[in-house]
Amino acid sequence: MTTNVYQLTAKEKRFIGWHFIVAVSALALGSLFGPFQAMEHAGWDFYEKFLNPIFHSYYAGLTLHGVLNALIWTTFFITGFLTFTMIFGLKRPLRYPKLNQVGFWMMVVGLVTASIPILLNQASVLYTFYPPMKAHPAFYIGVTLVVVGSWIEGWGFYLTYYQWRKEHPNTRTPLIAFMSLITMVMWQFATLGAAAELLVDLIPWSLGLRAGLDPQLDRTYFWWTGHPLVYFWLLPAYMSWYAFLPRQAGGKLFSDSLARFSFWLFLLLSVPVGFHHQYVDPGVPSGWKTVHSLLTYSVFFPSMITAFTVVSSLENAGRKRGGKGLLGWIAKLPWNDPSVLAQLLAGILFFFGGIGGLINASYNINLVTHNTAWVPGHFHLTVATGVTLTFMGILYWMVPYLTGKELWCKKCAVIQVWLWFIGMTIFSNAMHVVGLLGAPRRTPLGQAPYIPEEWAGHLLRVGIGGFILLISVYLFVAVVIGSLFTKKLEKEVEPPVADSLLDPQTTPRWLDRWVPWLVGVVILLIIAYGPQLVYQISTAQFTSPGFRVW
Amino acid sequence: MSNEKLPDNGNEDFEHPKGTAVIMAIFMLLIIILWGSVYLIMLSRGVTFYG
Amino acid sequence: MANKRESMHIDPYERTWIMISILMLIVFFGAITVAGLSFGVRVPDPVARVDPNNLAASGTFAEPGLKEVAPKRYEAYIVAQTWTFNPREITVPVGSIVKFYVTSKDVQHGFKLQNTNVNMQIVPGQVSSLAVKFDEPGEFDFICTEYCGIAHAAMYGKVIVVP
Repeated sequence: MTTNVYQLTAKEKRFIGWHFIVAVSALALGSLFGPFQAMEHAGWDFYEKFLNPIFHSYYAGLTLHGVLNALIWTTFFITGFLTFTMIFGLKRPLRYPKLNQVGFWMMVVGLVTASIPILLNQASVLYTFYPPMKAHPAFYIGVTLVVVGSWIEGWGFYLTYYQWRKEHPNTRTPLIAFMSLITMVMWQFATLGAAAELLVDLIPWSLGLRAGLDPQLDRTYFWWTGHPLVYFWLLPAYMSWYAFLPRQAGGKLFSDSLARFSFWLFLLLSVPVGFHHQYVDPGVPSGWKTVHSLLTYSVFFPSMITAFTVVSSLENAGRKRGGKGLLGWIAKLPWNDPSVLAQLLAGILFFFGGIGGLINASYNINLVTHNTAWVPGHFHLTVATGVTLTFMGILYWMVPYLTGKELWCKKCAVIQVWLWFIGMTIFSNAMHVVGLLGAPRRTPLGQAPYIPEEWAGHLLRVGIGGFILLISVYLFVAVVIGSLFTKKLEKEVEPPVADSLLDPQTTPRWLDRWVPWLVGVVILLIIAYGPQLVYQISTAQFTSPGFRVW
Repeated sequence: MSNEKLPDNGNEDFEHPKGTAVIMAIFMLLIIILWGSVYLIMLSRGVTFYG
Repeated sequence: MANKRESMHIDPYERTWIMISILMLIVFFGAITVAGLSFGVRVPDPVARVDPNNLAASGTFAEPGLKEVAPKRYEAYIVAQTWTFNPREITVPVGSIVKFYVTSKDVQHGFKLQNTNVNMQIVPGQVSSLAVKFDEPGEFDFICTEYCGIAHAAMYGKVIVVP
């Protein structure tokens, strides 16, 4: 074992651990409601029977599920994980740890502020909060604080990197630190849309300072952020697949330069694609929808690079472990390690998530899938499996790393991962199929009067899948909590950061320069969004008052 | 720099990722089948624009 | 150390994979372009703005309903509102081409005509429009596909196509 492993201080580990405590708590509560939606589809309505006094409706639960799982679990996990990868990657402490602490606590305050109106049924507007549905102002203010808090943590990373760069002018940025920075910078560009929507429109409007809004303009702001939000979730998972998984599996990263190149492309192309969520919007000209569909196709390209590079890194690992023949290496991978297993199964379902994404992005094909059950079917393969199951896998080594204690019940962890995979396969397949048949998303289908007989079998599968996922998520929570009370490890966990096949110093220098790429991002954003933003803002009709419809 | 190690001959760890190529070929086939089937569903559901 | 040669490490297999992926995306894009331009499967384009608080003043939405503009060609003006469509039912003869114009007088809604490609986001202040040809007699539900409040699940209407 190497002796010069960089050690994080106990304080740094605690700080990261707090992120994970909030993240896992949010997942534990938020995930309770997902299966309730799924089981409602199958005809088992818990809202009506049991939850009604506390959770007033399907939509209070659905809002909680979306906000806690898609926004809070992800954002807290990611900021915590990136804090680790920055420090460990650069082998130095944060430049201004206090700044990062301010960011973290601002996120916590935001979470509490937004949660109260949701729990009181004052903000059942779902996590897309489309106006002119109007929530309590505390909801919008809370969401804003979470986003700004995450920015501040990002600024802490940039300043740390700046200091490191001054001390190491000719060294390639270590891969995990580089990927962390890209993730945060992308997020910074991405959230400008939501910032405009929340600060200029929703907060003043909900406080009564503005009489009306233009909902079409706010949709455009929202989706500026809404799609790259997906990449904010995804890039840390990709980082784990590129930079950790090969080592965990016993191999090396296949190509350092292609890994970096794909991350630059994600920075460049993640944001200027938002109109592909607005293909069927009335207020966006079809010409601009076409431009964004082309750009969306382009962002598929770095994912294809990722698929090849990650699988070939795994092949490298499997062959080192004695795998022979064309595919014999697959069986040699350490499938019994819950962290590796989680990431492998996440990757398999993510393949299908990627295919569904390509279908959604295909312009007029979106007419078939838009706002149908297909869409939540799709993003439960991406964010709820590709991302979430990977994050669970990361925690399976990181919790012991942070606490210095053994993982509790490794076998339970393995079962948990398989249950997630099986439950999600059943759930998402049924959602995709019933969506193709025409079932709408975000609808308590158990109550809908227009359900044809042929949907029933699929809706039953939705419920069964949801029930299996419910068991899986609480098994996960049990393993994490159990691991806080196990016995001390004799040897500390060494973070499994993979070497690359070639020395990173041979990676071309243009892959380690920021300015040209950042200029590229700004230019592309101006081209893709500039004309439409100018047009939509200059012709905006601020005629929509707020409605409380739940 | 003729004595520099080239990616495809010098590195002991290196082997062409044949298995990966197979998996990617299957993946590509799945993309074409699934994408194509939804494309056909779209075509079967008719036209939305009459000039 | 200083003289390490810089190069992109791209395996020939990976290069081939990248090329094939790009080719596939080009073919796909070509296919959707053909479907849009040649076959006429298109997404909505902006058609008009209205004042959601005063649809009566907008002319076309003052009296929602079906208008015959030529033999077997209709325009259907539909107002989406919590939690119904107005009108909830329209009847046309088989072989008709119906162009839908849908707007909202309150929050956002959806308009999806089952088993056709008509699927639109309905945004207050905007008018969403797509057309469809009914070749077979029967009933086609149009359902609200965007969360619009507590009784969203009950919001639907139907087109009855008579022989």
